Amino acid sequence: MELSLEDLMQVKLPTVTTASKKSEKVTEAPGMVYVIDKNDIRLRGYSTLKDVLRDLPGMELTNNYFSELGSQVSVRGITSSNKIVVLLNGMRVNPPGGEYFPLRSDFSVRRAEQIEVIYGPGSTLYGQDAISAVINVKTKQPPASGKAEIELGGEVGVNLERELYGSFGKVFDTARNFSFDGYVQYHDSDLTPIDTEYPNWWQAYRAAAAPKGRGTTPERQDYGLNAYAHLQLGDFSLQSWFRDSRRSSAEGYGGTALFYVNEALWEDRSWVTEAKYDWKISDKVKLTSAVTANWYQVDPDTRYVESASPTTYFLNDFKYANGTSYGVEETFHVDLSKKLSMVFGGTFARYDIIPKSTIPGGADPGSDNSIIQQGGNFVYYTVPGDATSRHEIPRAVVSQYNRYGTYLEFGWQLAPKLKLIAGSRVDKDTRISDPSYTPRGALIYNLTDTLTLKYTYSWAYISPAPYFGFATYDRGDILNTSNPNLQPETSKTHELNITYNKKAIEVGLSLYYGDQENLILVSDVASQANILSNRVYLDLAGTQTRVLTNTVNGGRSRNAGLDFYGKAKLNRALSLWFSYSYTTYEASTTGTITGLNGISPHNFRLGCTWAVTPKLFVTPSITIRSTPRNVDPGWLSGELTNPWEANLHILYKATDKMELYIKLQNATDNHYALTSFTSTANPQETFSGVVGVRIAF
Amino acid sequence: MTTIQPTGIRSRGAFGLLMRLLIIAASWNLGLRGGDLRAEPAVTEYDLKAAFLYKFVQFVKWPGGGSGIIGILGDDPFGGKLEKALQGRLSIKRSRKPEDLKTCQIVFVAKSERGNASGIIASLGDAKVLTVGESEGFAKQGGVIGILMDGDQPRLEINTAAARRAGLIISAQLLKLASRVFSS
Repeated sequence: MELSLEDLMQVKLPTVTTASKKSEKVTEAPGMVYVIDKNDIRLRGYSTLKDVLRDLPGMELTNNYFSELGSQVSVRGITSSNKIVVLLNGMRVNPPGGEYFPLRSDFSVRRAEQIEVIYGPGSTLYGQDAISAVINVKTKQPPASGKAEIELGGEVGVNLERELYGSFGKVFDTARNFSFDGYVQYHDSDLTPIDTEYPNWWQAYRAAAAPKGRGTTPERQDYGLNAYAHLQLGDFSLQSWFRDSRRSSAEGYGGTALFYVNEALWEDRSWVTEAKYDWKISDKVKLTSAVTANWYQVDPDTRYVESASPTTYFLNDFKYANGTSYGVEETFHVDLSKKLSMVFGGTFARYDIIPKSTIPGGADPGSDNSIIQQGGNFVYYTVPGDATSRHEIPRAVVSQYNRYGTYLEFGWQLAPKLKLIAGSRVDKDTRISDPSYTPRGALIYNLTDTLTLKYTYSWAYISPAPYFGFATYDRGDILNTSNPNLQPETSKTHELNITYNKKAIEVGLSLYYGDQENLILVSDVASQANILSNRVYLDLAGTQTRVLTNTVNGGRSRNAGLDFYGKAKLNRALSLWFSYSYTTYEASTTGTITGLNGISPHNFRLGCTWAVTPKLFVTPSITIRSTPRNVDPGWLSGELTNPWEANLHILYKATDKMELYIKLQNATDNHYALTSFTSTANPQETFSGVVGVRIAF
Repeated sequence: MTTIQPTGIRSRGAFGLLMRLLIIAASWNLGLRGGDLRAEPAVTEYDLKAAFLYKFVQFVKWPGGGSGIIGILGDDPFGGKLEKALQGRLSIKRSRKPEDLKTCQIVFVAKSERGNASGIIASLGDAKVLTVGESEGFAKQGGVIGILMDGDQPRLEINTAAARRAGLIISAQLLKLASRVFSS
């Protein structure tokens, strides 16, 4: 390391900032912390966040799970993309209305410096919905030299896959800390032709679509756009992140309820902007002030296409959502002494949410009529022929509420080898009478210089999302009404983590046990607890029957398991990573006990990077799962057994200025299935491959 | 309502244009920057401390010029990183007894010896040794230089009185970088 003394003083070691809202080594942070850095991203060929999550220990990513969320992520047995918090440089980018976090092709990691994943509850510092993980994608800073950094890349491949991306960064004035950086990424693909790749599975679709004249060949698409910009001026920063994605709205629904025709699409977008100021009051006290605006919209063209009759489609099931939140957060970082530090903060956010709604004819946000007027009402009768038994359910609502929170956490070096972390948070939501308390305690003991033992006990909660509480729809079998009285779901988790770090070996083992109460039972599953009435009638004559449901609280669940993971550099040219995860999950609701929600108890991943020459890097990897539990195999029982996938990424540094790469996803063209929204086996993507080029100025 | 285009047609024009721009850009020789790919972990705490030890040789003067040996007292935390940083320019000696390291130019006191700084300094006696520690308070307790980590960044503490007692002259450039200087 031939650096000057001054340069050495400026070197920053790999640290994480997400677990405690301050810079610390992974071994000093509470809980299990897993880091993916920029080299991992380039050598393994990650493009978007979902590519990263599919390789992480303890996580299971199910592609094409449902159009509204794209891929579903399960973390340590807990399924649901609305139970993770996703940050971009510390800025929360989850949709404000508590929707599932969209994991599609619209969250680029090409410019990421480091992705930090904190497993387990994170509500003490991050508030609502941090049940199973907090994921922080941190982008690269522009070079301090002042030289402009420009990177452009593009790739094309099978299934008409194409991607373009570019990034920029420059420090304009070092003395004033004035810099600008950002990126844009565009992605599009037709995805696997599931009719020809999975003909047995597709035959029911074909049979149902053929009399309607079209739809026998699936119209699929995977469009994503992501843009980010960051301005730094002294201690003030402004960052803004935009995403937009579009998929077929038939994805993941199973059966023949929804059709893959051209009109069937789901498109949504987010735009999050944060202004932040770091005020270093003294050497020991820093105040960070942040103001954030977060907007999420389901495009008015979004709709499901169902069957209207054996020969026609129903094309009027349009959906719409539009939600915003405005929040402020003040965070004090105080070093009380060399051994005692404190993080203390307060938050306020205002929410104005139109959750996902059915709007016949499609929403017109510019109309003089409000969305509520445009939506109108669902009508049902409880007694056939009795007009007085008529009820109305508004198709669209506006949910407005505030949330206040405060948190305090201490880090205390009790002894040279022993650190205690203790803190708590309280949040008050104006929709809910009781506040939510989320304490966290952790003990971190450095057994030796290479062995670290951590015990963490933490609470978390999910705020009742308008997306669930006010989801009103007619699915053909059920009619779902709203429930404005939903309460938070809570989680308490114990975790024991031991890590070994020596030379070029990093190995960790986590054992966890979690207990979740007052579960938010989403109406779609139509469990006994969700049913308000077994029979209501859409017409006065009583010819169209539905089961009346809503989303409710109830029951309890437990998850337990282990994650064993590691990275190692075996010699100068070969490094590998691996993980094995085992998880169990059991939910008890209204006397019914259920298990893992369509996922696998065993997950194994192995990958390596071989530097064949200083210019050629070959990275094969494999993921193997045991057969997912509680999935209806349908036509895909063979494909559902022990699903696995092998991938290969080859990177060639053609010159100092240019890199060429080949990415083969599911390189062996393995046909396999995972679960879907309806708990029915759903075919996964078969072979896809791209060739790409990346140049840097 | 917008008209929905068949998949794949929507953006092919823009895509083609951008691809052409990419190829044009790639064909220019604009001094593109090389990547920094590695198949190994990033810089570690002990890569950094090893680099500091080598740098200290250049910014401290020893009476007689020094022996060219760096001693490691206690459990070696470097795991080969010190050899890599020195590249054969200095030799390394390891011991658990301070007395064994009196002939060294620098003695690095590992964390395993924490809490015994005063005893180690006493054991080294009047040896012309630059003592470098990594435990909190090392310089205050009589060591010459402490390399401490403030989160992800290094910090130096220097005891000029201890340096004088060992007959060492620390350059002003090094002193300037210290967050704390103990002169008595």
